[in-house]
Amino acid sequence: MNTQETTPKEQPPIKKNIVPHTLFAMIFFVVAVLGFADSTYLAVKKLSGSPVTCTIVHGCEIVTSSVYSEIFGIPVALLGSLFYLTLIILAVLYFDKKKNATLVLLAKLTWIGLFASIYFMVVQAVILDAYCIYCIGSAITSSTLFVLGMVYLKKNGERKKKEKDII
Amino acid sequence: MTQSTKSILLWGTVILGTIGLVWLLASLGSGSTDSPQSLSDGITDTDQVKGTRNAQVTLVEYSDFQCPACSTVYPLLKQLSQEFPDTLAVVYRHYPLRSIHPNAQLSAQAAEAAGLQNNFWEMHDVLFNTQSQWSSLLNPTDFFVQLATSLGLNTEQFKTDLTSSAVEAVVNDSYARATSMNLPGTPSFFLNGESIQNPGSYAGFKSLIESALSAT
Repeated sequence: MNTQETTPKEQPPIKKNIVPHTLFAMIFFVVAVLGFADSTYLAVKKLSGSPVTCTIVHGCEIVTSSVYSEIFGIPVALLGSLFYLTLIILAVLYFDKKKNATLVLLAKLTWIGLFASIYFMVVQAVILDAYCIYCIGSAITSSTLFVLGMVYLKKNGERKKKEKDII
Repeated sequence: MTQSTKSILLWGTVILGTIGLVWLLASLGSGSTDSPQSLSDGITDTDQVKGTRNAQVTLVEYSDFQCPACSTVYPLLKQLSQEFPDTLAVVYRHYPLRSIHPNAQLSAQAAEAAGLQNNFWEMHDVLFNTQSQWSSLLNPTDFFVQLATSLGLNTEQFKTDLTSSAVEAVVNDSYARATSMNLPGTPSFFLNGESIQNPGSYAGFKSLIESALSAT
């Protein structure tokens, strides 16, 4: 059904290589999957509710049993999973339709992850004085996505500018 | 391959992959880790036991007074001993997670020191009830002494016992047993010597104990 669309796409000249969209989409996808796995694991732990244990390795039980682990009764880990899932869907949407707009949207959404991560890291460090390794993991994936997102937006912006200049 | 077939394949793979990943994580998240399957020892002389020592069913808990999860589970265990006064023995064993809970060791010693004045379980309850008040104290000694006074214990004796080598040894022995079993954390439960997953609810505990009772 997309045959009409694909034909003209075959011939875009030289400028195609300026921004490696597919490479960006793949990295976005991989990092988002990591973040999704991490958040979902925490969400499952939280939702299954039962065996919350104190383990020697880290202070996760303090963090995940604190009031900051839920917003209006929804575990924040679950919101994290949904966030990463949205990014995964957008990346796959790009693989499917090859429309740069999806990647631009994805890159812009990474702001949410950055703000959420900063907030939760502050909560862990300042208020709870306890760190949960999975939360730190999510902060790392969110920040990575943000940096990638900003690099992508910058490159894409430059490309658009060049296109305009050519025109 | 047409574009639409490609799309279907792509989305199908992603959806199946996501479902598979969630399923895997769910089984990882709720499954038990490689904790020991059974206890090597029965009730010992140093164990703190609620109920009769030769009761039909024994529930051993490895616990830490500074662990929030243990304090959540403590009212359930208390209710269980009230419901099965003659048939259930609840055993409290110390597993103070010193690396993450700085006051866990001393709180365990406080309970043992109270135990020397036959008030272990009273101190046990009050330690869990006041957990949030002493968890972040730099030195909780005065707080524990106050608790002992409020329980009507001999305060001077309690102060001496709190840091005595005998009391320390009881806690350390229990800790050593727990680490030698590679217990992953607290609370860890053993029903009639067999490791059980924390059911997390009163109904869950009750049905486990009832089935253990009917099995004996």
